[in-house]
Amino acid sequence: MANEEKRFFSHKTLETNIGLLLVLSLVVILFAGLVQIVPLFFQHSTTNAAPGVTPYGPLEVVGRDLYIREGCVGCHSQQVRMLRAEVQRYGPYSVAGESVFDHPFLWGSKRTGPDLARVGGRYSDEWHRIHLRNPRDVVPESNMPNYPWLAENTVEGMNVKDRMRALRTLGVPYTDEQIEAAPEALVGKTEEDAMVAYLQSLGVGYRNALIEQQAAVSSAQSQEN
Amino acid sequence: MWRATEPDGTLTYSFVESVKATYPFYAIRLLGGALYLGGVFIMAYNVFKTVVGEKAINPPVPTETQDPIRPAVAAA
Repeated sequence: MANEEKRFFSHKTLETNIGLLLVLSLVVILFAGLVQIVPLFFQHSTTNAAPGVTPYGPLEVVGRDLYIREGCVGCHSQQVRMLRAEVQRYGPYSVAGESVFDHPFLWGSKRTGPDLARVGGRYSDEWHRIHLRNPRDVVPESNMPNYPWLAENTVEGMNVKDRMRALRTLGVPYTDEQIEAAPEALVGKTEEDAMVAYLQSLGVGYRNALIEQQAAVSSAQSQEN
Repeated sequence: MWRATEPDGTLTYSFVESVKATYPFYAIRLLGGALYLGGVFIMAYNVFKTVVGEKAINPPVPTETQDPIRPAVAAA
């Protein structure tokens, strides 16, 4: 104990100087945070698209922005967790590479409604239209609000080119041709069309890629046998 | 309810059944919210009466009392 008192970096020095304790605690926490966070910026599993994941088309981009405008993320998450019940209920668990084209990501944390990460292809377009206008017409117990105005508002002439250019500066690989052709995809479409297109695109690419992978593996196994 | 499974491994409840189970709690929440909102109105009335600034009533405080139970107060 006697020689400890002489050392500057001893617990006694730290614990009797609250300012020094605060500053050094902050340094330790910042360093630990950087160790956790910085590698993710360079890791392929977080920076590269997962198999089957492609950038959203023009109608899906608009639908996604409507999803943000209407606050859907306040009640619907878009991340299937690695729990057996979650995978059974929603489909394969979400991976980081699925969100590389999402700016901002819409993982969410509130599940008043079900998770939507894999809702694409689960219901028909017509089901989605009825459900958006009045959810109780298809799910009697639902507590989701009606969104009838989506069917009445057009998205034609929306600034979709600007939106896609903004996404390109954030790293989504849209070509000039894709951006120039984007307004054509919105001709005659309503907000509801855009929303349905977005919902039907959610999680489909990655799920199909997984199915193909499994099919390839099982066919390789059957050839061996 | 989200994680409940049957012995054979299938899910016990659909999502909407878990939504249905929350309705009684939303009713309780409505009651709590009504109480809170009522409190806000009472406070607003209180603030209103304070701001209006009616002349305060300063009632006389009896200093001498014939209280047999608390003679100390009477003595003071």
